[in-house]
Amino acid sequence: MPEEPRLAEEMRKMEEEEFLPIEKKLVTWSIVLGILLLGVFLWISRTYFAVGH
Amino acid sequence: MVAGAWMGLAVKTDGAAIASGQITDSLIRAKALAEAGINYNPDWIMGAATTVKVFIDIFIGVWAFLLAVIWCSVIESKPGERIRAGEIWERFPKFVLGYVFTFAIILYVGVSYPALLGKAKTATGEGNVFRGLFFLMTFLTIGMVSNFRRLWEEGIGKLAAVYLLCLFGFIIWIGLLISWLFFAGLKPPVM
Repeated sequence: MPEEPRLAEEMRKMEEEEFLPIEKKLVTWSIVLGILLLGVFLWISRTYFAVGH
Repeated sequence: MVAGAWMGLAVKTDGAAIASGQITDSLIRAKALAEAGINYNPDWIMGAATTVKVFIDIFIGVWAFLLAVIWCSVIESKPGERIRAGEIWERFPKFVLGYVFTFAIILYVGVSYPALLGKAKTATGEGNVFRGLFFLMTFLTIGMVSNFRRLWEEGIGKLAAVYLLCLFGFIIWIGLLISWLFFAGLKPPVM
């Protein structure tokens, strides 16, 4: 029966990986999109559902 | 309502977020009643936590789906290889559809047949019994199957430390800011 993999050993075996340029781009655009959408939804919320504001 | 939405945004798992919303609901209502004599309707604060959490779940599914499509078709596309629609369907988290359909059906019934609202509320109330029961079972089983000594030996302590740092350093404060922006000034109706 194969031995059960252990998380600690698997983590030790992992090599450090640099961020790919596309991943950096993805993170940046996700943050930009998040901030933009926050603004858009806030505007919708305050314009069309102005309860308590 | 800010506190309820905050629980929905800051607490990671669905069950724990809704349980936190329920605790927040009880504490706030008890304090308002004791100190100001205001008797807020129950479950509105918990409802804010639940709604926020369910919308997060739905949009995690939507964003993960979009990202997977973009990744496979633009970033890691191989010439001559196309994604099968079946492949996308197999990877799609189907529980999200359950949330979407249930929400849409109840919303449609509530808007189209206002006379049925009372019955819908009674049905939800009946369902709440199961909610409480399943929460209890969820936390009981998590406690029963977790082997913390083994997890600690496996180096989970380091991961837990990173998670705690992120949680207390960023997540709960961003969650508080967002819930305050959207829910500031909103209070549950008074009984």
